[in-house]
Amino acid sequence: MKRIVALLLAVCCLFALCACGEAEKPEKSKDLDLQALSQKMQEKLGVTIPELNQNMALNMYGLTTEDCAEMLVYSDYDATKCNEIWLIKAADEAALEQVKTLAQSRVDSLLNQSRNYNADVFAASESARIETRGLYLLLVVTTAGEADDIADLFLNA
Amino acid sequence: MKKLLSLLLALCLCFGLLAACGEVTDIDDIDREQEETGEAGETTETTVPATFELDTTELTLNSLGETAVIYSGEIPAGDIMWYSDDSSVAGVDAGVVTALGSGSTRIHGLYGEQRLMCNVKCNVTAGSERTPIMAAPTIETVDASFFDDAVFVGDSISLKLSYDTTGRLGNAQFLVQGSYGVGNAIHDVLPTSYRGQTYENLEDAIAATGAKKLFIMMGMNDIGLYGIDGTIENWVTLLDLIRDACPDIQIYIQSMTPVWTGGEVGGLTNPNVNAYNVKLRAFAQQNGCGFIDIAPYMRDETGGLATEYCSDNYVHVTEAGVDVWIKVLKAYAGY
Repeated sequence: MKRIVALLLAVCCLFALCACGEAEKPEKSKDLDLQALSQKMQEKLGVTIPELNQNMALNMYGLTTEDCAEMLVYSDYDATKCNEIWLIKAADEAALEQVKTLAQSRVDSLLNQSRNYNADVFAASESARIETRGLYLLLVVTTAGEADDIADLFLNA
Repeated sequence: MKKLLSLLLALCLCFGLLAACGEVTDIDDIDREQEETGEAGETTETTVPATFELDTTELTLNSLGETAVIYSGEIPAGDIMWYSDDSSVAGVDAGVVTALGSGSTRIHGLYGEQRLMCNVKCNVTAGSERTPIMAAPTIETVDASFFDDAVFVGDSISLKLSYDTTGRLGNAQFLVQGSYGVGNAIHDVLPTSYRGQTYENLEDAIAATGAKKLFIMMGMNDIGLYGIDGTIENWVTLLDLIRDACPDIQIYIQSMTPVWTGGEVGGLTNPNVNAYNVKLRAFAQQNGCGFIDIAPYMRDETGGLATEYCSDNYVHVTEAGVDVWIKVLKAYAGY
């Protein structure tokens, strides 16, 4: 009887170990539909953010078409709010690093200009998220919701 | 005997502590009570000395922009801190109340620890919204491509302009950031970001853009801090710095847009904005700069920023405000 019980316990342990297996992770190299993703993000935040054209993205942030194979940049930054989303597919690894540097520079700039001026924008800039996934990059700064929620949409897409 | 003494001592201590816990009534408590009971006008008389009294504690105004003096006491009105609970209904400056919208509010005057209040009711009729007094210009002296080699410099007012996605300013570049000002620029307080690069000096950032035309609007973060003359003096320094770094650049100075009436803070008032713009125009003309007067197109009948152009009951502009701004730029940049 004891042996049977021991055997059953051992089987149970095996099943329990199965549960420790890795959860399904989003595919890193998966192609993302940036347009659809950006819509989801704006819906999550409950705002419609104007899209900047390539010239504006270049002049304001230094984002070039050489570095960005795909680029969607949205911002409604003014004195009362700041909702900014960058969804970018970099041309290659080196370009991704460059875009990442520009994203950090943008966050630093927002921190500088809002520090003694706009507490909401400063708090949003402090909570900004810069995430990469394969060759994709997300930058989100938002006063309308949680940057973490938007980052989750990107990481789990 | 010892027990009796101990008991007495304990009793004394307890009574002493309880007495110290008694409520201290201060002005804030009175104010809170007033808010709870709604008896704002009645209790003020008990909290202030005779030399600090309002002429009235109840006021009714019946038209937009109507004013009434509520204080004429010995203490100079300018030494008293005045504010309105709801500046969309009524504003106050040096004891003069102005009707700004329909509804009721309370006007407060603070002098040291003393506080006075006046209940104000504004019966502003429908249809008297604070609309612009000048229509936007309809002529264009330049087209969008005129701005292809231009850079705009400014503070949070210009931020909204920088995010205009209509393409009506061509491929203009922008070096704008919240809290920017002439003083900030000459003292290198705020670094300027351009294409991801950070420049300690504004003039270096302007040079980096390669622009041939500079449109600049600043003063909102200056006139309260440096005064009007101090700000103009700072302009002299800034202009020298810019011309040293960019000798051939054509400079257009834009007038400072008004403050929403009721949103004035400290020295940031419309009379000061107007006085500053007069001196700024003279400065621009004396120094070979263009001057584009945006302000008149943004004003309402009270002299403040028109409601439809104001995003925050303060100084910042809406998309409709940006629309007028661009029309003014395109109407006058070619002269």
